[in-house]
Amino acid sequence: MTDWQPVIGLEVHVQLSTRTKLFCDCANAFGTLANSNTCPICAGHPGVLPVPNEQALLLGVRAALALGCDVQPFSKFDRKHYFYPDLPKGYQISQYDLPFALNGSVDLGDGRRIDLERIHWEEDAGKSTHEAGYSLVDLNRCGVPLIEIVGKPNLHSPADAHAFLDSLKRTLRYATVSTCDMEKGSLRCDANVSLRRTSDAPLGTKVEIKNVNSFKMVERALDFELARQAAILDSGATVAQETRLWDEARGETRSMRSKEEAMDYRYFPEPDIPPIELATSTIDAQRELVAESWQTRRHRYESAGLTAYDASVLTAEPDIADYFEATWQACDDAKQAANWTQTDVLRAAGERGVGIAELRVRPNTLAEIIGLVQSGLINFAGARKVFNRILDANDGPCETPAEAVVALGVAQISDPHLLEPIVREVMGACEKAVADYRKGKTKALDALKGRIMGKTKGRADPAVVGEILTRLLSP
Amino acid sequence: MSLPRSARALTEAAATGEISPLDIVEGVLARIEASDGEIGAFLEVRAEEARAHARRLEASKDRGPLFGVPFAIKDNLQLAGWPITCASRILEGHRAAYSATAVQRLVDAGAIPIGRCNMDEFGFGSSTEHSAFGITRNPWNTDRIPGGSSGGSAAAVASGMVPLALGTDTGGSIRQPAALCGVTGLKPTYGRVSRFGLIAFGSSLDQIGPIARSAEDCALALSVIAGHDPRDATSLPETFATSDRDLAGLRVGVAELPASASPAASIQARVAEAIDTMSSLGAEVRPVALPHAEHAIAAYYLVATSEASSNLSRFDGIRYGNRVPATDLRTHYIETRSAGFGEEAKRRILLGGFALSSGYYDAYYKKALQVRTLIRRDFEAAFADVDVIVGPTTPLAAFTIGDSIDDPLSLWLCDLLTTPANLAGIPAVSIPCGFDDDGMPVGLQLQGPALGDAKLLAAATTFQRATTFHDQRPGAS
Amino acid sequence: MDKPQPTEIKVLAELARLRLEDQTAARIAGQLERILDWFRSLDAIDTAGVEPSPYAVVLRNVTRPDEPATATDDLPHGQDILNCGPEQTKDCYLVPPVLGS
Ligand SMILES: [Mg+2]
Ligand SMILES: [Zn+2]
Repeated sequence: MTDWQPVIGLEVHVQLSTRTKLFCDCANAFGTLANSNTCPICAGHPGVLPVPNEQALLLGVRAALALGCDVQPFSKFDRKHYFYPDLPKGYQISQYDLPFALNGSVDLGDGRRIDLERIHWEEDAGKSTHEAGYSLVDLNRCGVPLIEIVGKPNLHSPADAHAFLDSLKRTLRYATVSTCDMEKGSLRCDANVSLRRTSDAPLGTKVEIKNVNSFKMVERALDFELARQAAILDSGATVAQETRLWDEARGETRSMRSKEEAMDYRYFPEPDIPPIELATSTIDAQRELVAESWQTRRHRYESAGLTAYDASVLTAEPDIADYFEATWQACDDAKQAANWTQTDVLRAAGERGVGIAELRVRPNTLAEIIGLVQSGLINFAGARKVFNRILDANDGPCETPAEAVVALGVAQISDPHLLEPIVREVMGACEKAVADYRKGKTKALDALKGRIMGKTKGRADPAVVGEILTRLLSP
Repeated sequence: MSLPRSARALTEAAATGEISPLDIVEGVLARIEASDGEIGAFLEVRAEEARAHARRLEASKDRGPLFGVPFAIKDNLQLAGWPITCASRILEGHRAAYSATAVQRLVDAGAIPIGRCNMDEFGFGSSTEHSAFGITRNPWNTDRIPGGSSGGSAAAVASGMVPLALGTDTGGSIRQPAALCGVTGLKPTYGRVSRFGLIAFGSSLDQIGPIARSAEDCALALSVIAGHDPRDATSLPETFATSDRDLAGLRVGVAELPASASPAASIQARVAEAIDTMSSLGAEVRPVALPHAEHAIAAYYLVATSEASSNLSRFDGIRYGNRVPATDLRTHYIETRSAGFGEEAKRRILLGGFALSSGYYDAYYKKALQVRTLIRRDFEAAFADVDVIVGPTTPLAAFTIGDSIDDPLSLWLCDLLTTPANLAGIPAVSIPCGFDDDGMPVGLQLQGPALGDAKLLAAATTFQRATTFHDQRPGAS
Repeated sequence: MDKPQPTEIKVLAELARLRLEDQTAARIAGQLERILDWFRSLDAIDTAGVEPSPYAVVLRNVTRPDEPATATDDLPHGQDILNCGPEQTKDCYLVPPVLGS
């Protein structure tokens, strides 16, 4: 229905990239075996006490700064109570009335900003698996540090919600606070959805959707829920305030609990954890660790002559942007650095299933290869052979690109005195092509060039060959 | 063989080889055998382990500051591998997965754990009648309660079964039973002793402390269990060192008691005599005002029940403890928790949940925390003028078993004089100062400023060197 | 200050996952009413502008370094923790289903 305006607000839980959990020194990692990564503290045994992980607090601050939030000088932890088997203490340690960050926004990159309400620290819960007749509880995830980012209900389409999450993910990855891998659960999202008649009408009854676990599903779940609410409103009925669960397999949302069953979480200050006061110097130190934003980088790349598409691909991940920039800086050719990064480099990483930062060809090496092309020592085909040779070299002392050129024998032949006899030989052998060219079929030139490259095993300098050919063919 | 009664004398005798740790353990086990059938201080005596422990000590070269001293543990403090119940059905059958820092420090100092002491379930009570596993009797008169919630610990020391026991004090649970049983009990400054491994009742109020025959023994035990613990974020960084300061020139404050306290006449008389004694030992007695003291009890019960309702949420029969079989999750929770908790626990969970629920939070929980601030300020102002504040530990001596069990409110009022120290986080000690008309012990409470534990114990020690109340023993042992 | 009704006691019991028979609910409601009456003595105290004290210490920023459990860590981990549970299967804690069969 076109006459309803969707109003969407997202609450995003992000796992922070620490070595240990928020309140105990169990590893912040998924054990392959259920319940292998637990201790009395994260399993909520009687008598345990939580001691906050300093790095988790700092990563939260860094995330808040990357999102332009006002980091609060004073904040505290609170207990949020509810019973569920994957919540061992019967309460979650979270933050209630004094979160560590307020305001801020997510920059969609197209000139629009979606305001944020707040960001707070909290601990993750475990995982329940439901089987026929019983449920199983795995506590490995219990106590993993999270930040909850609460956006204002300022999104008006599922596509915008997707753009919000995409931008948020880029920003947090750039700030190196989280992997934000939705498929692995390190970024999870709940959505508040309602419809209203016009953009200035009061907000309609909102429904909370939980369990949306991939970027693809966010749009699908919102599309489904908006259509469901529109149908209800069109029929003259009212939308019930409730929490609904996204069922990925059936592609629908279904009711989880109604407003009447709404929880009274009985928040109160966590007496086991003294308050947190963030000094200006602490906040400033984190600010220094916030890398340049992906949006600014994208603008800078476009100003250097790259297309909007290239700039977007290169800024998708901080690793890619870093690789590109280091190469660019070392070879001083943005276009070449961008072409190589987007093609051979990304492909090599993809094929090997490793991060771009782990490739054996480092940006400096790639810049040297590009430099060899620029100086005419090798051509592009040779450059690619050099790149692949270094890429696949075994461990041990690394060959330089120049050494690889010698080893591969791919140095380019640029001396016209060496090339002219070859060109004449090919012209003599390809009389038809020569004749065609002279009749005006300029395309015939390519055939001749191809034969010449073949005869030189790809080492002839294409530019010099072109010059000789043009001279000899001219009437 | 006759064992020395004090922890200090015992460890000195053991360290010089005059007596072996195994002899000490055998002596203690014999006394428990002789007395505990009547008293019921212990939930469990782990005799074989204690003997093995003593043999290991004998073989080792380490001579810690508590070498060879047997001690009893209130059953809310964990020792890895030992059962622990908090005197509640809900934990029946559970064995501790790890050790409380305070217990571990005693063991590391050469002390020998003997057994687990009875208590009010989760600390909810002042009489040790609210235990799921039976009552404990007062060694001075076995028709009377020993006080609580550390009633088992206090009775075990009072009857001479052990020289030292660990208790916990949320609103008076060390001092009140110490007073009622005629022994010395210390609630240290909040944060002095790590709470790691103590099964929480009121997290911002709980402190672990020693119950012993003298303030000197309490100081010895505190010097072992005190000190920073990185596993407790509320643990203070300051170290503890005992003090020799006597009563000469010590400024001793006496506060007018709240009208609702109205201590029994014989208690008032014993306390007045004790103050005279202190004065004769050189103390400078002067009045102090604690204007909000009478509100401490209401503020205390709101804070304590709120925190308790939260702390008891983890007992759900999933990761440890008892469970009642059920076919759905909600029923599992309800049946497990309803069968596991006693009525006093249920009452406190409901009251605490009420104080924290939306709509009531500001009127109850927050208001109580504001009154707590006023009480803390009262103490800060008073301690600008005096070094310690003295008065009765309890308004009444030990009453008859069963007398107050049906009236929670009247029982709660017994905590009127002990709860202010917990709200303010300050140290307080109860020492014996005589007997009432029925021959039951009377306790004198000394309260000091935060971190003033050493000075407080030194004052109590000076008093005990000049008096013999702490050396009296009940006929029951 | 308001006092809780027996129906409210039932709601509180539900939140705390406790079963209360009507009779017990009524008795406890009566007791709570007396206790709350008594708590209302706090109303007489002027606490305007007084900061609440949820903590008994004045500590701030108590944290631990982000370092994994070392060999000297004496806390049990993994299987030893799981074994404390009354019922386990497939390395998990077994609990009844959210909805009964
Ligand atoms: Mg959350
Ligand atoms: Zn852990």
